[in-house]
Amino acid sequence: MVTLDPAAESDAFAIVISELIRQNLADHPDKKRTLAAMRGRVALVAEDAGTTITLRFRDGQLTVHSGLHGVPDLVVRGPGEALIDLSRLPNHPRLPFLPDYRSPVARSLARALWERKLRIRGLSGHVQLFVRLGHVLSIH
Amino acid sequence: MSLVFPSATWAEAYRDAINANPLYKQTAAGWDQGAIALVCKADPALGIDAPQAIVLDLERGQCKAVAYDDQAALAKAPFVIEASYLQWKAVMTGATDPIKAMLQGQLRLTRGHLPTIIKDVEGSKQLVLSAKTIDTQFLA
Repeated sequence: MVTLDPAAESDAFAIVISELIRQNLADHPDKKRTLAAMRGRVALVAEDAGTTITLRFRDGQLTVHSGLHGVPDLVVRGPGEALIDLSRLPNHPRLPFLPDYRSPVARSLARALWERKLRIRGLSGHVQLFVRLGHVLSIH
Repeated sequence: MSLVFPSATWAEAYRDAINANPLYKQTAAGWDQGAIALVCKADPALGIDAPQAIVLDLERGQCKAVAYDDQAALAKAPFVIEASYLQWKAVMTGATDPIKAMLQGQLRLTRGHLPTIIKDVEGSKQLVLSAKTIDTQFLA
C-alpha cells in the first residue's frame, strides 16, 4: 500500500515517512481502511532540514515522492520536530479516529501553530484529508 | 581532562552523563525496549579504520551499562543508529538538531522499529544531548 517513488530512494525524509506509515499499517491494520479512503496530495516541508516530500494518496495506495510533486491539496510546513510530533499525537479516548487534543504533544503542536512555526495551507477545503493524514501518521 | 571520542573511557563518561541528565530520566521513563547502539562509521582519514559502536543498555530512564567496540553487544542491540564521525560530532555538540539530522539522512536508524523510536523521540534527543556535558576531544 505504501510505495517509495524510485526518485525518492535517497531522500531520508521520504524514507522515514514511508517507513513510518508502513510500520503503522502493519502495527494497526485499522489504519489501512483510513488510507484506502484517502485521495489527494499532501506536501510536508521540513523547513529546518531544507527538505520537502509529497504524499500522493490514490486508489488505496500511497506514493511518497521527493520534493514537490504536482499541486498539493494540503501543505504542512514547519520544523522537522513539529512534523514528527504529528505522528506522536495520541488517539482521543472515545473517538479513536481523532487525536487527543488535550495531550502534551497536542499542546506543543497548538503552540507551534499559534506561533506560526507550523503552518497548514489548504486545511479549510481538506479537513477530512488532514484528519486522515493524522490517523495514518500516528504511531498510536 | 578531555576524553577522545570515540573510546572506551568516553563511552563510560557518556553512561555517567546520561544517568546525570534529569531530562533523560524524565523523558525516557517509559523506555523498556532495550539497548540502543550508536555506530560511528569508519573514517580512515581520522584513523578510524572500522565502524565503532557504543552500545547503551537502557531501561526506564537509566543507562545500566555501556559497551564499546563489542561486536556481541552490537549484534544483540535491537536499535542501531549510524552516522559519520562529523555528523555525530555535530549532533553531540548541539550544532545540529537530532531530528533535523534524521530527516536529512545524517543520522540513520539502520536497525529497529521506527515508530518505537519516534514514540520516545524526546528521550532519544536527551540521550544524544547528554553527550554535550562531556569534555570531549574530537579527532576533527
